[in-house]
Amino acid sequence: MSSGPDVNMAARDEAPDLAPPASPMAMPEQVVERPRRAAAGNGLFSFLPIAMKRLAN
Amino acid sequence: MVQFRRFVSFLFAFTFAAIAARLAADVFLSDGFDPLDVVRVLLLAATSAWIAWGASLALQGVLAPMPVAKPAATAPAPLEADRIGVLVPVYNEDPVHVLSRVHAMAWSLHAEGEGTRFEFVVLSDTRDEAIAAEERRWMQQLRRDGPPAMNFFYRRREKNTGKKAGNVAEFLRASGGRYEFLVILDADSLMDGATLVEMARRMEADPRLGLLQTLPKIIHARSWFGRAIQFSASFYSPFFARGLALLQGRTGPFWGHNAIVRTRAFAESCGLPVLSGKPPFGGHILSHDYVEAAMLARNGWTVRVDPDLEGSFEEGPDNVIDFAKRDRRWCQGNLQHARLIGAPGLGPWSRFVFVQGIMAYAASPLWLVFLVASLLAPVVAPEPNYFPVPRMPAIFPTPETAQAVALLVGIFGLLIGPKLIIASHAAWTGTARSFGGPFAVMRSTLAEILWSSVLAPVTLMFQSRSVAQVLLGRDGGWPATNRDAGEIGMREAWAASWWIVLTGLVMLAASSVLETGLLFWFLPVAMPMVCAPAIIAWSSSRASGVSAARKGLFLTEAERAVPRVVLACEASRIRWQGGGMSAPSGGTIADQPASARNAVA
Repeated sequence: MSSGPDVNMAARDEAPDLAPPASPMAMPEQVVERPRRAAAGNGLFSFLPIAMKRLAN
Repeated sequence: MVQFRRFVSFLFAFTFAAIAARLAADVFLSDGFDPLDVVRVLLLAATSAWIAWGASLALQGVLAPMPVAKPAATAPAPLEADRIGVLVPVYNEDPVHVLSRVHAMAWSLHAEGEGTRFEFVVLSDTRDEAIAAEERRWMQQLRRDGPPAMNFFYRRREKNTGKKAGNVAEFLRASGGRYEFLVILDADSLMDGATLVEMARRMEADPRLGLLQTLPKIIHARSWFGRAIQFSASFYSPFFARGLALLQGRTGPFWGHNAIVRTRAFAESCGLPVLSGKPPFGGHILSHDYVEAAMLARNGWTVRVDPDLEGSFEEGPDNVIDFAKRDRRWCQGNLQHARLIGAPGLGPWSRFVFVQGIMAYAASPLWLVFLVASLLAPVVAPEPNYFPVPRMPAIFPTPETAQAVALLVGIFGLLIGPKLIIASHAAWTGTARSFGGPFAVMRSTLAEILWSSVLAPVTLMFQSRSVAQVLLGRDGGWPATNRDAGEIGMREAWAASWWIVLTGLVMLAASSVLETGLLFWFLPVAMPMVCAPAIIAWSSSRASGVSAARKGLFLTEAERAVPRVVLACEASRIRWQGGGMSAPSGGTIADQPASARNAVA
């Protein structure tokens, strides 16, 4: 099953007796990515100046 | 034990990769060193490790006496859950086909005496107004035809945000509190009532079990291509799945459908965010199922696949083009997981599952680059030095043919060996009987090996193109899978694969011009590419499927002894299609097989 590309649709009327009964529950959005670091402190390159300093000392 | 099995599998893969790299180095460096040889050795090592990993899963599955996840409670006690929802997400599918499956499942549950505990909810994302009207019409018919006191609901979304995952999440937020468990299906899913009840029973037996996945078998294949996949899914897949089950521990897979989830666990763990940036790597998470399994495990829930659960079915693509279209979507979804490998809190195995998913598609372009590098190797090879030691007799480079053959045998052994072992195992243990007997199984296995070898270069090209498109930032979207597609004609096949033909011709020409010895090695790869349109067209035809069936090839258990729920589904569909809205004669599922047989006949 796929659900196709996102398309805006007008509200649909359904026969009310077909609709599932409401019984809300929370479904909080999860974190799946590590927060991005600031551009200056990014990954390997942020390590480079520290390593250079150590080598210099 | 799980850790030990994982260690053995990794060791097997890395050992084989190391041996392959050593042999390859001997062969490729026999004419002197050049940088392309290093590339080729590394590519061969990576792809060999991947093949060996797959083979280790199958071998573990064969060697395992029983599935690792034994149900804690097998006694047929009544279920305790008040309500279990069965979700059927649909998107522009034929309502009669979808709802006839629901009808059959409902009666099958009714026959199990647990019908009133289960409620079916059709979650429509259909964009086509005419199909949506038909869905509502046939839902009313389903309510009339379904078992008494059983609930059938239908809701259609205004916007199909987040596609299937968004569809299910929106339902959960609105109505999920009503259900202890939710069975998540696909539009083409069909499950036996006894299986649905057993799944709920296993969920009740283990309060930490968040998701239980079944291994769906493919049914209703009509073409040669479809029947070959159907046979593979029925015959080989249980062994691969059993091998996977032995390695999964508490971090099993979710394949998006034919699975049951604990509603609370799913709701608290699986709220998917929208990834920053644009598709293909940003936006909604496409292959949401892998991510949901990882997130459940991250929250301490067990995710498990139980390959011993029978009575779980789906349909598959009947031709190469539909298969490639589906593969294009899965490829994009799996490559998108590259952004999630470092997700906070995930277990190492969950991260590795993402890597596996990526590798499933990355392996094809790696092979292709290897082939191209091998083609170019003679061009960049250094001039042979026959006198490495001055004033000494000439030394001629040795072709290292023995190593080349050993390498080839090793790789092909890992590719086809597990299939032959599974076939032998089935013949030895007697399970081959349900597939037509040992002789039929061996013939089908050999035919499948031959067929998959012919098809491999074609799928390699389609997958390589998919990976390239994703890496170039092209969003493939999610076109609906045309599971009822007809045959593919030569014109359509040519339009879809002319570039593969061209690639094959270039390969043949280059290999014969650059070094005559290469032509022999490239023929098995290039010839299927040159014949791609004919292969695609022929293998999609009904005639090819009928021919295979008449020869007794690719027989499956579900064909030889058609499950009652499958017969009931066919009977419902034929009756609805033929008889319009007329109410059925009634009765229970016990009456259905006979009526199905009559209807089908």
